[in-house]
Amino acid sequence: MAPVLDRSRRRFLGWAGLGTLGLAAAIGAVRSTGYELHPETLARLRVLSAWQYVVMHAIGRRMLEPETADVAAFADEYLSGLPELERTELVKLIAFIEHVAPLWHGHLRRFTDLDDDEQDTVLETLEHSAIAQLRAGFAAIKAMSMMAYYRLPRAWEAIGYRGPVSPRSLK
Amino acid sequence: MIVRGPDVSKSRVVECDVVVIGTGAGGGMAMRRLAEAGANVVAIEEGPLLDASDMTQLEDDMLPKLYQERGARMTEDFSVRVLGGRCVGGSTVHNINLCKRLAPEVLRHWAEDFAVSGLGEPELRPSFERVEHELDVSAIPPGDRNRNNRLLQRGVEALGWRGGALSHNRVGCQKSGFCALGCPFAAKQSSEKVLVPAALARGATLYTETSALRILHDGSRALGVLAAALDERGRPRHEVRINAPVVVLAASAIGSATLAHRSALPDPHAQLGQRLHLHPGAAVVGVFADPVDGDRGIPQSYECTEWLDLAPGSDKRVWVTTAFAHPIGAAVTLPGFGRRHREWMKRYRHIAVLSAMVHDETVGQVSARRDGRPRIRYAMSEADSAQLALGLRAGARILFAAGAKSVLIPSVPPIEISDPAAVDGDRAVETIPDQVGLPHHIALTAAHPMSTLPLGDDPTRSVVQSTGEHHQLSGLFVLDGSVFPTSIGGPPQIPIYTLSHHLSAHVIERAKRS
Ligand SMILES: Cc1cc2nc3c(=O)[nH]c(=O)nc-3n(C[C@H](O)[C@H](O)[C@H](O)COP(=O)(O)OP(=O)(O)OC[C@H]3O[C@@H](n4cnc5c(N)ncnc54)[C@H](O)[C@@H]3O)c2cc1C
Ligand code: SF4
Repeated sequence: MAPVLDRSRRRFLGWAGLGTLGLAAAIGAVRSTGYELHPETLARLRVLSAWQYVVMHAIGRRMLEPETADVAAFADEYLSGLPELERTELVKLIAFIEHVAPLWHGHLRRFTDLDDDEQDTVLETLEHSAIAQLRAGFAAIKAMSMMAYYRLPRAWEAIGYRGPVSPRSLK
Repeated sequence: MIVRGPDVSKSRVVECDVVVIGTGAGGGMAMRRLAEAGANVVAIEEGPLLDASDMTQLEDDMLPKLYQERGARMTEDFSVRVLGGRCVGGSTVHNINLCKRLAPEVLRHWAEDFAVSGLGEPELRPSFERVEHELDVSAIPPGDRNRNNRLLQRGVEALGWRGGALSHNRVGCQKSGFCALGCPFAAKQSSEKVLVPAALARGATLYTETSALRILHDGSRALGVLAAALDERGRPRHEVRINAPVVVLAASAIGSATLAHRSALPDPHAQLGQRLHLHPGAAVVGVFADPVDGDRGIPQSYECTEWLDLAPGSDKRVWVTTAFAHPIGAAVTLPGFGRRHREWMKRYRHIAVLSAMVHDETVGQVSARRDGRPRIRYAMSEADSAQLALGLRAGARILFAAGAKSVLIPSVPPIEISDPAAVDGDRAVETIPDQVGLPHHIALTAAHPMSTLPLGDDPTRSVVQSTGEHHQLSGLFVLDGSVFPTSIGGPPQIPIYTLSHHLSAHVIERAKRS
């Protein structure tokens, strides 16, 4: 099993990740254009920008398939309640998944331009990365996606969870 | 009297005999004892006062309401999730109510190796008895064991291992299973239900939604506390300065160490926040043919102690109990994503979950970050990781012995086992290697932070005296989970309530002298 890499603490990416982000920028994989979002959705966002929303939506889709939930809207709400440091790290991680992680598999396209199988491969690589911080980052993004779905009564029904027992909570 | 932070309309100065920071197990008990002794007590709590009607049993609603940092507090390297309470009653509001005394061997170890005096088993026994009586501690009847716990018992008995029934402090429990999200039936005999109201009835004042910023001192004496009354959104608004010759610090092992650092308390031997223990734990999952429905019923009622020997230097340092989760908790723990993950979630009703919790030797550190929040460093040692792996192997064997069709260790990568022989004898180490327990290889959770301001008579190896009073600052007492000199290897609430009960006698004496 991979040794624990402890070069940068409390950073999902650290200098290595940011270095690759720089590399991605140099070869032109980083663009923040081409992300379409309905103006009403955009107006509701507290933390995420249009492109971050679109990426989070794509990640959430793969995390929950075949189910669906508005992971990006949930992530925006969730991130708004986090302290600055954690919020910035998670937003950086979203950028990393979009622009850098696909390079590992030789894709010069962004995560959101990959097909479903390619996206899954990228996420699996993060999940099993030899770099401990990337595994932790994957766990954080997965947790947000799972929260967005498994807080919904339709998700409970699908797994046979009976939900709260006090009448008040059902109001 | 209760004063809510948002209701404080301008900065104020308050005078009192004793100010207590935090209203969890340690603070609630100190507050009650001091008020009963006739002291003029003011308590400060950064979270709100909630009652049964606030407990919606929804994970996404209750985690942010009840827990520090919305339930997402992590060690600095993101390897361990550290849980703790942030409301009146502290962690006793969302704990699982297990009750155990401090083991005599742990107390002996403290006396012999950590220069702790006056806290032997005979000295503490009357306080334990009193606390257990006040909090209605009783054995959980075997008939109240849910199937997850019955499977643990069946497995333990089939293997001929040591195990037994647990005790709890619940009255009128409806067995809903939502303890970790706050009890909607007010069945927990927790600090905010039993102790805080008794203190208020004796004239204590409680500031809720008010966060202690600094302990005031002159380098040799405690002078009070500087706090901030928070607004409805939790932002500091008005200053509340509490002048008191006696201060009780009970903001939990994480909160107290952070506040002590922020207050620049004297620390000539660099002991403050240097000996954090966490009882880190991880889950092992068994899949059964029939529904287990582990989400309903009393969550934990049986334990396996076959691999737990609390004697110092022991090579059995892992406690196995049950650890069922609601859907979000389960979804975060189960491996993979997408369709693979969904297959696991479909088995939700059919899984039994055990947890292996390490009586840890690793020492972590707690300090304050620039934004005032805790910085928690904890690099789990290889020996502790190996203990965790030992516990996961034990859990796997128990589940198979109880009839599981397969067992999952939700590590990265996950280990799925369908052949019981794979976890028997020598093969077990190949199937579940020691490295599985290493940080970042499996989700680690810690619900029992301890030992950041340890007690003892030797000021070079402890922060507070055996009386709970700070070595260098007279009038400052620490009465929460911070004071344990070592990990205790079991549920900490009764030990904390009891030490606070016992050591409050010294606080009362000091308050009288002041
Ligand atoms: C999920 C979970 C399950 C558990 N189950 C069990 C169990 O079954 N049995 C058991 O024995 N133990 C259990 N525990 C642990 C147990 O509840 C704690 O060890 C115990 O409550 C700790 O007591 P304490 O006084 O040290 O701190 P806490 O009870 O955590 O109280 C500290 C209080 O201080 C407040 N505070 C912190 N900083 C400040 C500040 N700056 N200003 C004002 N207030 C502040 C906090 O808001 C909090 O209310 C569990 C814990 C968790 C998280
Ligand atoms: S199991 Fe009992 S104590 Fe726990 S939440 Fe339900 S009623 Fe309350």
